[in-house]
Amino acid sequence: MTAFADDPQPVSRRRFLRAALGASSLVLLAACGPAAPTVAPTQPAKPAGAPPTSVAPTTVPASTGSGVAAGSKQLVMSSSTEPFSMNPFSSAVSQTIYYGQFVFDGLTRPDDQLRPTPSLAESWTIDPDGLGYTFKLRRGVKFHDGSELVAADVKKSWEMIAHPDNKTGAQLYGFFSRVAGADAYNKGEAKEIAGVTTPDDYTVRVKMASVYGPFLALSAFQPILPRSAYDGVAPAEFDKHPTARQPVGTGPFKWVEWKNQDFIALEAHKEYWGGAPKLDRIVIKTVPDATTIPSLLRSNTIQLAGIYAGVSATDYDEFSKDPNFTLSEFPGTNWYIEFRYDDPLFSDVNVRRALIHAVDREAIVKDVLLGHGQVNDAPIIPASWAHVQPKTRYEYDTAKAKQLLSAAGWTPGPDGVLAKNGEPFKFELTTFMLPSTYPEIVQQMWKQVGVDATINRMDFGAFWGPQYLARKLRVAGLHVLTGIYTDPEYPLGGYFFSRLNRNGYNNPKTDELYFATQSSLDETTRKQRYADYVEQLSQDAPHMWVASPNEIWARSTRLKLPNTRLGFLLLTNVKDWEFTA
Amino acid sequence: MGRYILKRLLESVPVLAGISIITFLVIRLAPGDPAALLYDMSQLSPQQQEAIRRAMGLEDPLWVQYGSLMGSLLTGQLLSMRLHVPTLQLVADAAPVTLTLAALTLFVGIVLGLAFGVWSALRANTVTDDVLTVGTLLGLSLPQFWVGLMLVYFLAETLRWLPAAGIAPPGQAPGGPLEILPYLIMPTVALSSGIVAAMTRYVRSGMLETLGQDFVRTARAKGLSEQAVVLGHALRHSLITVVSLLGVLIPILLGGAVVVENVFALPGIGQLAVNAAMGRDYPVVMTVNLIAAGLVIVSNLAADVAYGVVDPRIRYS
Repeated sequence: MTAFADDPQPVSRRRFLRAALGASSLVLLAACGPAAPTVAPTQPAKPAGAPPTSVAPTTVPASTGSGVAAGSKQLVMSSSTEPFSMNPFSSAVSQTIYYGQFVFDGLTRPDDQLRPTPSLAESWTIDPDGLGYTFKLRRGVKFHDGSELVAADVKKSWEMIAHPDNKTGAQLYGFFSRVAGADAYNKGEAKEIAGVTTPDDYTVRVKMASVYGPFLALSAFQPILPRSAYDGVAPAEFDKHPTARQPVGTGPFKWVEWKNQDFIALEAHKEYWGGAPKLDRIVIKTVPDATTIPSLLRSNTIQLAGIYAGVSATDYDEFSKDPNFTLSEFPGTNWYIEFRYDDPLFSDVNVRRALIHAVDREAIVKDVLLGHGQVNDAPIIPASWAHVQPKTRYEYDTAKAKQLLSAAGWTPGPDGVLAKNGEPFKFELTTFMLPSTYPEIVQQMWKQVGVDATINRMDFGAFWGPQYLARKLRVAGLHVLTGIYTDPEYPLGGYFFSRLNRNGYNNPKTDELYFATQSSLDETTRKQRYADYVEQLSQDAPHMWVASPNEIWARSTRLKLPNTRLGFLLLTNVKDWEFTA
Repeated sequence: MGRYILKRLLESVPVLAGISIITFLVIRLAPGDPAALLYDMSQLSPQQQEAIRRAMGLEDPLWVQYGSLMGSLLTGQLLSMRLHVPTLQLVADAAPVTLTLAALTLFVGIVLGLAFGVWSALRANTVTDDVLTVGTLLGLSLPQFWVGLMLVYFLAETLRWLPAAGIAPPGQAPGGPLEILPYLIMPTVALSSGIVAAMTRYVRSGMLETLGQDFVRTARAKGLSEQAVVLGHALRHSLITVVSLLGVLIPILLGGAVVVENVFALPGIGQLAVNAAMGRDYPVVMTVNLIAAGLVIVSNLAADVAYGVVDPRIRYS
């Protein structure tokens, strides 16, 4: 073995090691450097060389928490995801809708039961035939860029949604497709939507081709942006244009900064037409791991958790006992399982009904949701004026389930699994990574009546586009968002209407009832039609409503929020959020 | 030596090209449709869905998509599908956080790993050694996210000594090195727990082996102090272990950053990579993968060069 110590050139190695140590500390410093290019604008500039007292560990809570919130009326709230595009004409994903409530207004806004009330339009009249609307705009409304809202902004905003090159806005276009002349414009055959006219700067006239019940609640709620911001922007490039990252509206908060994966900062729009917001600044911090939310609340890093992830049902009791925190619960989504309607296994209505009878859904609410939810047998949010439960409901009754299955020709095989003509009752329930064990519980309950289901969990990206939207699934477990739309119409068309749904459910009678819900402007009539629709849907049982989990919003008790019946409506009322002493 | 480095760097070009092809095939063969994740397609007909995919270039032949992706990347024009900003800018924004965290972790891992390893070897088979062995076993077995969550619970939530998340007060730009430091203490501990443990074990066994060798006895025999024997002779001989470990640490650090950045809500490369993979943001996945691969190639090369300097028996020609 060579004697290392006697190596004739030890200096070079020694030098190398010294140099390496020096270099590594340089790397360390350099790596620290770029992360800290500027002093935050809201911090008072510190003289160079001042003792770094504010970073001493013991004072950190003051700089991260209560100090900031109490002094400057800044609220920090969490969100587990950030938007992709804040162009509300090209994107209708929930992120754009949620974050849009801070910065945008429509002509109408929803009240607590989702009825349209005046917003940018201070009043409107409807023609007796239901085919014409005249909106009177509020005067003196200022956009965040200082310009004043006029009728031309409304027309331009709606035309941006309907623009033929705006492919990704196709689904928002559905809200305007019944306006006279919209179809020609959308096909590129006209230069404007003929049915929308602006007799003067504060009047918008809409002429409809046919009656569309949700127009005031849904179409007129769409954000109005200043037309100047979209002059010269190609609608095919909406999401690539800087305006998609720097939205300008008339809303109570201005969009100040968007740091990817980190935060979005909003500042009060002092000239807001509805009165200056009571908070000065809202920071929406991206918190990717929802399990850290309780820690962030308790350390006062955030004062509100609600969008996308509030606190979980398991943390509910502990937070509800803590006087520093206030909890609010709202229904928001509805978990359900779709059966492929044209699959021989599920084509018999009695089989589908049996599968629902076999599941103790109240037990799922009690044990999985720990009581923070309910069974909702309709795709309409309970907060809505239109909410109704069907008369036909499928209570938990295994005897009935077995009897229906046996009537459909399924008899128990030797292994306990039902069989018919030698074929066992077996299928795969495909679902994405819901943070829940409900699929396993349903699987066990089905097993009790001899149905053998296996569960295939996929990540959302693999499930949603290539499997679910591509109509490849026999049995799909998913949820429908019902809590962010201002009219019950919104989720119905895509999820249950025969031409668009994914499980092949097709009953001309249901489709007819669905169209009927749109073809009246009268609330009582519409409500009755929704009741008829929901009843028909329930009788056909093309899917099983599992449970509707509550969103649990948690906030520092010092933060006062308006009383609403939906989490989404907290956002539409953000100007009234305030800190109390 | 210079020629050797140049040769290795030239060799890395086809390696990176191969990695780009494999990355592209993997992300395109993995099931997923970025368009369906970006836009609410639940209300659209199949024709309308296809029109959106075509507008995003997702209906082109695969080789066309690969060519345009790589072409844009090499000219710095490649845009994220989700965020519509250049992927290189996203990486540049996220890199400082991850690099700082990685540098701190390396520093802590090497310093503590060497210290514990030497200590453990010198006190071999004593109570001190046993305690350190149990400690390293824990460090190796406890998952980083769990260590992170426990740290947050005790140090941020209960004691309120350290901030729970981020690298600055929410909504503010990060401050100077001293202001960032408190935010990085817990992430560094979580990320380095396993590395310190592994390093300790390697250094301990390397030292034990070295301490029994002839040249150490010779050093002692010529009357050198114990300090000079251990630090000047035995430890230097064991450094080769450390260097070889450094070569494989970069991928471990990047992988660990994914977990730790998630727990501490740090806007770094790990988060960027996870969000891009979950959202099927192919351009970002490709950019991050190639940069990570480049880092691994460079760190392996650096380790190989360092071998030659630390161990004179190794010569490159």
